[in-house]
Amino acid sequence: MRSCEVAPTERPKERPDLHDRLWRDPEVFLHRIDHTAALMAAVARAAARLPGLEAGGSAYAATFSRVRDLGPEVLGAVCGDPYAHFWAQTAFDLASAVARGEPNPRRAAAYVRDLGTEDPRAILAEHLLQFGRLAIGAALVAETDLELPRAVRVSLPTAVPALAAALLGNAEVELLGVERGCIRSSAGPLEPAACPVARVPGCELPLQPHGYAAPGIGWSPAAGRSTFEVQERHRDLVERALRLIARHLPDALEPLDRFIRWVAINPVSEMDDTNFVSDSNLLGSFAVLGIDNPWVVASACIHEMHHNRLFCIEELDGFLEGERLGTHDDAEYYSPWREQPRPLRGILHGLYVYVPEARYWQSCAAATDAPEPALALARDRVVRIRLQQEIALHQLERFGRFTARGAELFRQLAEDTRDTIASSRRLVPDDVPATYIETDGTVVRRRSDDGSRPLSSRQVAADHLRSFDRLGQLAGVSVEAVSA
Amino acid sequence: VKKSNPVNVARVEELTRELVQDLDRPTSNEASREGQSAERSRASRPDSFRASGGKHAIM
Repeated sequence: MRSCEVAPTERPKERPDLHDRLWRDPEVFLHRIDHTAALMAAVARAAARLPGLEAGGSAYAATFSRVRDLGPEVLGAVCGDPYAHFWAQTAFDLASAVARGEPNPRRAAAYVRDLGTEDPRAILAEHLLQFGRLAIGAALVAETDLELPRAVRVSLPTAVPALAAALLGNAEVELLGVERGCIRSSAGPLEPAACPVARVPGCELPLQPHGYAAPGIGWSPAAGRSTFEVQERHRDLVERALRLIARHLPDALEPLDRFIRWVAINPVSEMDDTNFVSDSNLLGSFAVLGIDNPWVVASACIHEMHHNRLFCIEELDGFLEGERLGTHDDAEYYSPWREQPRPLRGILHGLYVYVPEARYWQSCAAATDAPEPALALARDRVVRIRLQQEIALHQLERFGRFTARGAELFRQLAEDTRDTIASSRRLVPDDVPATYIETDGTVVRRRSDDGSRPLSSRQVAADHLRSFDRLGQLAGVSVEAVSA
Repeated sequence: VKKSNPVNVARVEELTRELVQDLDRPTSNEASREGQSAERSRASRPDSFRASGGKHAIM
């Protein structure tokens, strides 16, 4: 088995520090874990003096103190959990709102809807109670007993934070603590059930459908309505995908193993706009469509893991300037990946994640031992991604407003993107037949809407541009897609 | 349980001090009267965002 055949962004850069920050530095993820712990600690210090919370604030502070005292390993295991990140950010934003007498932060929108109140004190009180979930996860990791000062009500099924496990069933119960490895509850002892886990040498990915099931998150992809049995049926597919990553983009395997706590597989029977999705609230997780094609699932895992990485970079360094960025208030830019206009932050994310995805597909396209359908798919992706990258680069260079640090990082990202475009042209200089994937995983030729003629990759990109650049943002711009 | 990434205790303490100061910082209106930026920490914490490939991203 050969290693990565094409590695266009591996050569030394003028600014290796920026290149590492974008692609390799584990600090990007580690800082996020420490920041989550610090958010919890800051809320604990403030909670007792926040108006309207006295008893709940003190109870939270005592419980957090208990978790922190279990040591850096256990606190790291808890704070690396996607729910811990959501919990900590939301607690801090709510505490800020209460301290300053401000309205609810946007992050609490689902709570406002579900609890039927606009009062941030009432929402914070309920949210602090939910820390009991994390404390229970911590006690289970530390193999110690725990008694929560106040019971936490949960709806089953739900994930157990810090463990690749869930409490199964279909009921509302109150969790009271941990005793001898079992969770004490109003319904008696509950034993967490282990998730299916996709395992290959160097990487384990728990397949967790219940990570979205916690108050305040407010949404779920189709996977959240599925079961361990559904996830188990996709385990072999994910393992085949991980073996492809190990061959074609081996650098991606370690961060998948170390920082992605769970992946939820969306069944192909329930396709929607969240087929492939990463949520910045749930850092360290993503959902992908369980389409029976390991080359596609591998590319999706690379793609979504890098959304997670960029979320962490955004938290650490800042990138784009502006209050509205990332909301849909500024969704007014043509994106080569969407039919609707997108916020610049969405285009930035696309530009970023398609650098490693392009490297992956270039390696696949150069692997002459791959089956012909996979090669046809890879060649199409190699060409189409470079056309899309060129457009996204133009959009960001023309419209993006960056922080000082963001401008440095963007220059490096632009350089790495241009390297990837250049290696794509060397590998597949000519236009190639466009493809798409049937829901059964089959690769087929893409044809015109009336079915009369096969389309090429350039034609697909050019058609997209003609159809959806409604504001003419690419008019007169010289990019390869325009010349198709 | 996945591989452990233990927290860096010193960095957590440093970040906690900064965050506690942020919680104590005046509101943006008060800050602008005082010529300060109350939004420093918020600027480093971008709002929620869902990076979604959309239904047809692969198909």
